[in-house]
Amino acid sequence: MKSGKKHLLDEEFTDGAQGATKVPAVDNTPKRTMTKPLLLLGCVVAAMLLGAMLPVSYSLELEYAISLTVFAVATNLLLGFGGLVSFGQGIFYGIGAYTIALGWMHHSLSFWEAMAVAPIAGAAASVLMGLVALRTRRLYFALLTLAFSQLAYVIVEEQYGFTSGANGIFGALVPDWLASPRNSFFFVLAISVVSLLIMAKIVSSPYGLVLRSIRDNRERAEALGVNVFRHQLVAMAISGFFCAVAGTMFVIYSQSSYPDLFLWTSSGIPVFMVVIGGMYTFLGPALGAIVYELAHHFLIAHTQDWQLVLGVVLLVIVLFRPDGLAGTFDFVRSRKLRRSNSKTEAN
Amino acid sequence: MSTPLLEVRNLSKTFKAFRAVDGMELSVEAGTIHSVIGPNGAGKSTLFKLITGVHVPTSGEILLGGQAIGGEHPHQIARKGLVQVFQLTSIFTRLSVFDSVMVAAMATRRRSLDLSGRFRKALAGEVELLLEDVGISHLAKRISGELSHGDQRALELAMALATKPRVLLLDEPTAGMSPAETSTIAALIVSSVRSRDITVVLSEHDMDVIFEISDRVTVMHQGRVIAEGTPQEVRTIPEVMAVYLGDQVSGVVSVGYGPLPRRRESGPRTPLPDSSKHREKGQS
Amino acid sequence: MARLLIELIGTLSAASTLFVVATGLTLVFGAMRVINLSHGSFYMYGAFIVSTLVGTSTGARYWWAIAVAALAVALLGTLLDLTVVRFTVNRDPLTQLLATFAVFLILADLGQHIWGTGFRAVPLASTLSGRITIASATFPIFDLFVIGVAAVVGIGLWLLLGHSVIGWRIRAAVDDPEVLQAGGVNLRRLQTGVFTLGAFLAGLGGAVIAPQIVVAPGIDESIIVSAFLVAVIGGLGSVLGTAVGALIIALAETVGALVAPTWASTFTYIAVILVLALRPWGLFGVAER
Repeated sequence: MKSGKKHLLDEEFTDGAQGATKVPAVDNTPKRTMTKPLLLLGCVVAAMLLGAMLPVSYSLELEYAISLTVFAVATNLLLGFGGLVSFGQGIFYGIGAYTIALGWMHHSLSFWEAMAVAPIAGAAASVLMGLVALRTRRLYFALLTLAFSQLAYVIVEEQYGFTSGANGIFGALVPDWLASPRNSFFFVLAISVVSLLIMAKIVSSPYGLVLRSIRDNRERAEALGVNVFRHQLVAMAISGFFCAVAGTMFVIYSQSSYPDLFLWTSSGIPVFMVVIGGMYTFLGPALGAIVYELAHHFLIAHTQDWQLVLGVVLLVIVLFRPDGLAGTFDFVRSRKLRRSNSKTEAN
Repeated sequence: MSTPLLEVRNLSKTFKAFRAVDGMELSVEAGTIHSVIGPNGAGKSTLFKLITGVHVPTSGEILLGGQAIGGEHPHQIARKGLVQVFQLTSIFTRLSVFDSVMVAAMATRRRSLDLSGRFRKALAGEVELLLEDVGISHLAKRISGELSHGDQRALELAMALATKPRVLLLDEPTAGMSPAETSTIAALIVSSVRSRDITVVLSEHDMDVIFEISDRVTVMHQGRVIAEGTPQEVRTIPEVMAVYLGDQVSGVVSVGYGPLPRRRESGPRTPLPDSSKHREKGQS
Repeated sequence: MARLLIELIGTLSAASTLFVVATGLTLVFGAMRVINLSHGSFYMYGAFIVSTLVGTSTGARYWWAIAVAALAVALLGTLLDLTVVRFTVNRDPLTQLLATFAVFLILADLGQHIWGTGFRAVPLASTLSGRITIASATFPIFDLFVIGVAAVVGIGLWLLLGHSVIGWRIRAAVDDPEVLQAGGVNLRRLQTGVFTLGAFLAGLGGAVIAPQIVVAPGIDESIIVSAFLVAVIGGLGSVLGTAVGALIIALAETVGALVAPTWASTFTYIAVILVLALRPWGLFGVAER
């Protein structure tokens, strides 16, 4: 800050230092126009129709993809809206899944009880991680989240007696009516839509605005009197909450749970989804999640090299198109707007 | 005389072996515009950082409204009503102009953890007024990062005003500005703070601005005060001239600010024939 | 006393591998400000190459297999630096993490193509298997060998960094890259060199330890976090710090294993996290601001 040197550890380091990030000319927080809500409603209706009509194997896949949108958007709460690079959201996803699985395995929690407890457990764990990690600057925060991921993995894997370790937990983890693919599809869809709506409300609230201001310029926000730590901690709690919700949906979809969910590489996936879809819009990550999962599903079926493809695509996007898909749409739209703006200004 | 709103007494700050500020004295009356000038390295920036809490004083006192604030954290001092507008433009690059000012307004009222929209609507009117006062309401929806330099400084001013400060510290507000932008910002400073009864302490290199808008001037050199008084008084002190060898102090320069502009003016400043045109001042 | 010595040697041996691998990471970060999540892939490749070259023999093959493996991985490192990593220098943490994560994925996939998805065991060279008794304590010769390698690496780096022109330049790159460039040094080429060195070290670490581990896909994933923690605890950019960090972590793991075996790793991670939370710049790092 004092010297002109750009230093990796400088808090002022904003994304796209090489100018790759294009700031859109017009504010793009969730607006009150009519087109967007209608479009989204259309998507939900379309999803419902697909869920009812597709063959089971496809509807299951769509169900999983939809559950992942919650995971991705919740991760982006920290990443795109909070400016916090976390490679640890898989922890809370795993906690969500394991709450149900362990509750079933030890007969201690009914399904509904577990569904209620899971998000709270996720939020609590996230707050714990935040209390420790938020005091460090960006780079170390990211590395600490990596460490936490491994910690969680090690705990689950080594406490074999309690968690059945690397084998994971399989079985009739959900009630019978939910085991039916059609039912589970609509259940997951419902939870996902509600979760996304709640998160949208939070992002467009005054709190969401202040969070974004912290992301843009932490020092300025602090100078204005904002308690940065508290705001970021709340963001972690909310993110942990909904990542855990996504985790419970994983169990609903797969009727299983295993330690690999906690690995840092698993946490890299939602981050990847966010980057594909675009991290500065609310629904970008949702788009990224669906694109990722459908591509993943397709690739797995046809080749053993999906990791290679994933890696190459990620590399290209990260290095050359960091605003992701949503960023591309926005760029096009903002150019049109800029042209019309300049026309009106010239008058 | 009533107690000065901002007081600095025998303030010193030493970095290792270097005395950046040495026995500094400053006394700012409420409602005035007080300028701090001095060549580069005189310690102006350090003084400001001490006042806003970025640095901790080595010795001496800083008093706001009679209360000692030396050594407190920046955000605590900000909450007490002493706000600085940074020398380097430091805005929320991805937020819209409207939202940026809104954040400033919300943060001050400590309602930023509010999740409902009702409170935000209540503040919206105030934000719009601020944007108008500062002359950028036509840019409300634009993204801050895309604004021109002059507009960004205006935005900074709006954000600072949104916090309803008692004392506003401006560290070189006209740095890097064209003459047109400079006169606009100077006029904005004067009009905004007069109407809001704010006290301003500013540091500047642009002598014209200093002598036009200041009520009092303090001259710093090598960390201490070498002169203090009204602009007219200070201008004629030989030590001051010596310190500014080759600098911009030259005779009587006058730029009338005339009717206060509400919009950005393009074009050069117009020196008015009547050299003693000042705008309304509360005191002489 | 004997027991203590045995535990000590075991700890030193574990620390040795961590040190060799993590040193590469810390140097790369120091000189290039790049956090490389694919560093673990170099480690894995080193181990796999050795497993291929050694096959089932317990003869002297192991010796030159290590050398070949380390050099091959170094070459891979150079290639990666010239094609991909150069674009990540000076970028923000997220970009670097994701880009190197992508490289990790690519290398993992290629690795599976070359060596399959199963695991391998590398037989111990006969000259290195066997035990030695000192002061009534018996421990494997191999442990001493691993420690020896780490010592050689440590001394070599100390000589390189402290007593050679290149070493001086590397240290300057860590402390003040602008001044170095102003002096006419080709920073980019230096960075390529450092990255190659880093890859070499990671490959060497994997190659040397191959007989003692399960060589399988996935070890790239698990070693990287440990390596990072070691490097960060010691202070990114400091070789000495890495050595100390490796010792600390290995010690924590050993003590943990003695006290409560199933919780050993857990406690180690917790301890490390706490240290980092309180002192994120590490032991020998510079506290920023």
